[in-house]
Amino acid sequence: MSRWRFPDFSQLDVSVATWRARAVRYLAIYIALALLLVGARAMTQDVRPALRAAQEREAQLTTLRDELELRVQSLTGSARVRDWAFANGMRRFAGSPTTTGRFGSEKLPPPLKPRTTLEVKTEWK
Amino acid sequence: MEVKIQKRSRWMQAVALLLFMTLVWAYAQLEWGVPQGVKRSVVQSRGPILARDGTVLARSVGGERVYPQGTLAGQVLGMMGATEGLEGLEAAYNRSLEAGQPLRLTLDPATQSAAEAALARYVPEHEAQYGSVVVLETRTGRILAAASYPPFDPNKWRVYSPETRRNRPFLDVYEPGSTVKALVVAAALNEGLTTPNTVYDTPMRRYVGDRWGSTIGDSVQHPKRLTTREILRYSSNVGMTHIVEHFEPERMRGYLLAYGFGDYPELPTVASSTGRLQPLRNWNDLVRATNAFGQGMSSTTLQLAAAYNVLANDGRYVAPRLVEGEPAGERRDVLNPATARTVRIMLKEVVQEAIPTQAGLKGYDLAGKTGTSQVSLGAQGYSRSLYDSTFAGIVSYPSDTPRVTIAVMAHGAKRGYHGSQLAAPIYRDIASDLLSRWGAAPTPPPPEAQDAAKP
Repeated sequence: MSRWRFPDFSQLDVSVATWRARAVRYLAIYIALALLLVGARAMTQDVRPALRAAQEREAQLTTLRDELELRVQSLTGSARVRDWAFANGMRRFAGSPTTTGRFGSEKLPPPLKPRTTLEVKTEWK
Repeated sequence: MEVKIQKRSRWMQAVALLLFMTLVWAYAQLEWGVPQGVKRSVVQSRGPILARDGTVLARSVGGERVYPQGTLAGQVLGMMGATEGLEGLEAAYNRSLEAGQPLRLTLDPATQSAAEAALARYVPEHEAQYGSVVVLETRTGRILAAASYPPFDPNKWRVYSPETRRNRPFLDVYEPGSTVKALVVAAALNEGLTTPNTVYDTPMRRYVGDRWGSTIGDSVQHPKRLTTREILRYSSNVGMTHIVEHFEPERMRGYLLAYGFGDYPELPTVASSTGRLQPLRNWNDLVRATNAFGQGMSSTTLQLAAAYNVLANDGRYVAPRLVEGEPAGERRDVLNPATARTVRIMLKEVVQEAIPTQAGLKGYDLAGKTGTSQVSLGAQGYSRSLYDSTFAGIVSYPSDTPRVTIAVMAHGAKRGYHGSQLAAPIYRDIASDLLSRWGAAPTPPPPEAQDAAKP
């Protein structure tokens, strides 16, 4: 197993030609990636505003739904229904006048003839 | 040498790429704000308050607290300030509501609105100052309605006075008056001190107590001798002094305590009053006699309803409940079931014979007792012009199957302040509403009554 040794900087290639070539290469890579990024950003520039608009619309619709739910509940509340019913001349079942009487001597209708046969109806589809 | 240079070049390329990626990440932070997963904002909306059937009573919409039912149970709900509950359930259950937990109440919106509508009809008609109603589900002690008048809309709470915001059925303390007679008669029957048909001499006035005693009088004209059931029928104070004459003060006070008077109802978190029973050391003949007809003691409408629920519930006290899911309070046996049933029959007779139009509904099993009490002014004695009108009763359907217990109070009526004139019709209207919603068919009168009614 070889031990790590401190680099020997005297052996380092510090010639201008080598570093120039490296700088050109890295710069070219950097520019290419930067162009790629800017291009991607340019191509998707409408995504973010559309997303934001959709989120705002969703929030608006949620609020609207909640408000409508509450409005329906308040419009169909017991107190409102009661007020409406009384305003339209209705009265409580238990409080309405009740009378009792006996049926007179009218003849009862004849009893139905009991069925002795079983009828089966089949429908084909 | 050349190999070494190539390796170092690769390293430098990797480092440059890493640096570039940090640049991309920083740009994305500014432009998109996407990689902020850790910082995701959590909007904690306040939990809703729901009625028993799921009706929304309070809810947060668009950052605001909304009470869609308006004045329905307004005083019970209370209201919310900028960030937290200020009064009522909003304040009492602030912590759990803040955590987003819904609060489901035992209140039934239809019963609550029936109670509020009845108060709104009769309290102004009699020029009374305020009123309250409690409706309990007999078997469970669930509070189906806790209504106050004048009404209060929590959506606009700033325009209302603190008196209007007051949850009166739980907080207002007053002398319940003659409604207590039925409870004391039940206790005396339970102790074997009287029977429904025991006869007492009942002059219109009677001096009770020794040196520090006082003259007790009756306001309703009645025969000179009354049975126990007639004492309830004529609401005779003098008769009540006879019934409790041999009642040990400790025992009688014990019964009143067992009915729930003089103690907090077991409603966790919710603000309520205790009312007052005099300490035992103060009990003498006069205190015993006045307590027998509901003066010299005090209670809330909730306590009065819970006490009458003992009669409805075959002698068992069931602690009232307002919030679903909370542990049920104490249940205790106060009376024998047979005693409770006997008193229910006596109360039914009170409605049928004494106040059939004010508190009764033809063909239905309604039972109850009125009360009219002068308002205590403390050291100045009792007011001669200020009265509390009360009624406590039971609604049964089918016959003799109690389903709800109702207590009514109206304070300071200027016209028709008697319990039979003001509180009883409120009870009748609520009972009518409930029976109609149950689709309860009236019971036809017995054949002999039908024959007697024929010309």
